[in-house]
Amino acid sequence: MTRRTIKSWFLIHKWTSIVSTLFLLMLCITGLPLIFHDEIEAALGEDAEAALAGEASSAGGLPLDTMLDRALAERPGEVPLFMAFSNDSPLLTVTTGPAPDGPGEAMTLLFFDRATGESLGPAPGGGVMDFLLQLHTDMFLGLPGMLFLGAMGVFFVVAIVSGVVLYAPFMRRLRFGTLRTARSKRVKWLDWHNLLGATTLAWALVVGVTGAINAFADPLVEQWQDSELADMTAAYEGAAPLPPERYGSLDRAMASARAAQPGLNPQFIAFPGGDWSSRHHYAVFFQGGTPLTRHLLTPALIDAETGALTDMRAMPWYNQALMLSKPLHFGDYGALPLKILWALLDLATIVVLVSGLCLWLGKRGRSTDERVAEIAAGAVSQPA
Amino acid sequence: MTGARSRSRRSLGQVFLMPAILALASLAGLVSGLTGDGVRDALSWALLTLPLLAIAIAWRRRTS
Repeated sequence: MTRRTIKSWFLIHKWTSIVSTLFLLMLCITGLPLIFHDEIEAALGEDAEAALAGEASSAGGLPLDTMLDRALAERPGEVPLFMAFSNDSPLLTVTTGPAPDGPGEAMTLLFFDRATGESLGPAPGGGVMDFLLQLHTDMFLGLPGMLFLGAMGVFFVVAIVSGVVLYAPFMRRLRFGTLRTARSKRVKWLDWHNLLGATTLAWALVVGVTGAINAFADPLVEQWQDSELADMTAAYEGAAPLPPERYGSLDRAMASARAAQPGLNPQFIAFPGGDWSSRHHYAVFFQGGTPLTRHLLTPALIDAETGALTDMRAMPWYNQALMLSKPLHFGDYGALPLKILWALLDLATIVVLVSGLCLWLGKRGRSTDERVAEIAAGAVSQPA
Repeated sequence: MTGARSRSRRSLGQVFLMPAILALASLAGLVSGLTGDGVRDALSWALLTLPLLAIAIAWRRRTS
């Protein structure tokens, strides 16, 4: 590799890192407790599912119409937006809002026990985990914040790729895993940065790419609604939106959907007029039947007035990628040991970020050419 | 630079052999856990431990 090539990649690595490092540090630090949000919420007594016993709400229980009536009685004047199910407990959630297409802030999430019909009140919120999640997702800035952090994810990926390219000249004279801790602070940081960067490469790439995909979730769902969903419900185009007083039975709709997807578990129902359905349909989203396809949802569109199936299609590839990105970003699909590994790899990434920052801040007066020479020599010629 | 020149240069293949093995192991681990439970989860834990193991070995062999 010529000095000029190294210099170009060095500048890419430097600038993508400078732009993104502080945000990535925030993401790594807030992400660390978020990995264990289930365990932390259970310890804080905020795990509504733990106390419930009985049939899973995705399998059965009291009629859905009964549950919906109870939810709407708690929120008079509001309309239903979502009803979601659990595969592990009778917990059933209903989201309501003032209008079908209202903003997220105006929505209320209510918890119910589908086995007994008992109301468990509004979802606990506003705690420290909610704060961390919001900071991690959009820094309290809504969609612009999400897209901004998505862009930081893209910079992260470019920084990783350019870092891999620079690893080659740096390691030309060094064995894999070289850690020279007694030479100088700078050599020590360089070696740690290269060792941790090279070993956690694939994990960091996957978490970076899937994080960036998650940041584009809203536009991707909108794209599905505008194209595929519009196509599936073409027969309803131009019809006035179905008013909530004409919504038909949910149980009848669920029966039609189950007949189309026998043996699968519903994860949630999206009501007409929201981001996840048309203006005339209940969209019943089913989980796949295998461990892999469990993460992939397929909507059955049911005419909300008549309860008849209109259409059912797998979501397009970009939505499938989005759905698979969630577990791969959260690390929540392999029980506690996977979460612990996720946390350790996250800590390693924090060290890569901090060491990179130290290398940039340390001896800032140095010219780019001196730094390129340092990379080309693997810091072998550095004075002790 | 004399100290540097006295060491032999390693080929690209040698430089990237270990990082590539660890990257493939990590990817296999990430996918394995996603495609099943039980044995596949255990395999995913084992494979994702390898990068951390490599770090621990490098730390033990550090030159001071």
